[in-house]
Amino acid sequence: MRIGRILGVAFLVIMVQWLLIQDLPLTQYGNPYLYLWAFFVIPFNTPRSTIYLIAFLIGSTLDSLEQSGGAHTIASLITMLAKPALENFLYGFKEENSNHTLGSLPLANFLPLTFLLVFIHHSLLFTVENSGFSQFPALGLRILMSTLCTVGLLTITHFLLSKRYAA
Amino acid sequence: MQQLILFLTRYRTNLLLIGLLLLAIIRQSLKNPVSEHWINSVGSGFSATISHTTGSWKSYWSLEDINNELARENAKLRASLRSDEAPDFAFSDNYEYIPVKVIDFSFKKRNNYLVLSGGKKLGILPGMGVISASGWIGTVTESTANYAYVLPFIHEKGEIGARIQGKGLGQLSWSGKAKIAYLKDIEREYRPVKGDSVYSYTRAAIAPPVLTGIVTSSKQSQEDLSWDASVELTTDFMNLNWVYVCHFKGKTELDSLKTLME
Repeated sequence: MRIGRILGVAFLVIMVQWLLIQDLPLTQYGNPYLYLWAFFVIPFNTPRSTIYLIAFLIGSTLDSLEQSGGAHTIASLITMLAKPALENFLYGFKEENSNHTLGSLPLANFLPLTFLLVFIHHSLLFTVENSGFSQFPALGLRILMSTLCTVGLLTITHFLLSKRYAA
Repeated sequence: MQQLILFLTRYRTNLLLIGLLLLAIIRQSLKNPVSEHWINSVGSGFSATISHTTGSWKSYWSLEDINNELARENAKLRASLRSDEAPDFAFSDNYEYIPVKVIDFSFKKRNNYLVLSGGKKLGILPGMGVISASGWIGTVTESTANYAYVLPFIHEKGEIGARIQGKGLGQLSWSGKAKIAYLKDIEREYRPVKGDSVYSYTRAAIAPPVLTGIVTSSKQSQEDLSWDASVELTTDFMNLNWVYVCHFKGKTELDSLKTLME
């Protein structure tokens, strides 16, 4: 049931990403990737293997839609690998037994973690897509602008969907 | 054997991660226009179908842009009937132009792509050049019955030969920034100056020479004294609606001649 919900959310955000956000000319240096929200509804106590399979599935779908080889898959898998270590580094806890999700964290905790996860994801994504570090200034600008756009969009989504802010 | 099973059981999560990563890396490493098409054929077909299905409402919102582009093209055609501003080498009646709609494209990556809503049924085959009303677009690398995949100029491998009238040939490649390209290796006798028109220069079987950009600045190489120029592209790759695939009328004859020579 829980997996079904995660996959349902993943399908929705991928469709929103593909049909609406992908073509928005917000900036020539990259794109916000709302589909990362699917990783924010995975409860902390989900088994690692399940998380990796979900990341692979979501990344591969985006790669096929975007014609980007395996860039999204690699970025998603490594981001999910780094996630527990980041949580531990930032807040000193491993909520592996909690049913909570990243999306249910208070804003003060949500923002730094989101920024780091998105930054790691986008750094990997654009570097792999660029096949290395050639034209580094343009690559760096693309990573930074896209990270800011994605974090902004995820924060808005957090405000809109999180029960914490419900009236 | 028991040790192996124990090892696999103990490290199954890490092994799963490594396996999935390997799959993704292999898929990425095979990424070139041909193998990418092969591997992504299912995904491409799916995304092309979705893009086509949703294309109608997207088209509705971009009607104004299409109208402007058609008006520009119409004006250009009318102008070419009366005056002849373009150089002689840019005119050729050896081509048929197949108009097709762009149903999917990217412009923000280092390696971008285009998917066209026409394929082998319309006579679109790999190797054909693609142009728009405003200039050079790219080359068809793969085509199915109803769709074609184009390697555009704004791709790492999208560089082409280019020519400035009266100033010889050079190599034109995308800078990675929107609308800016670099023209290299112009002979030292011919300094490109601001405002010079740069025309694409590919093999005859691909496409005729078309306006591709305007020189904005130039500098001389200290090593061999050849000229490098910065070029502003005439095509806006952020807004592509209709393009033309160039079909060289003499291709069959040319191919048979090559076979004879071999």
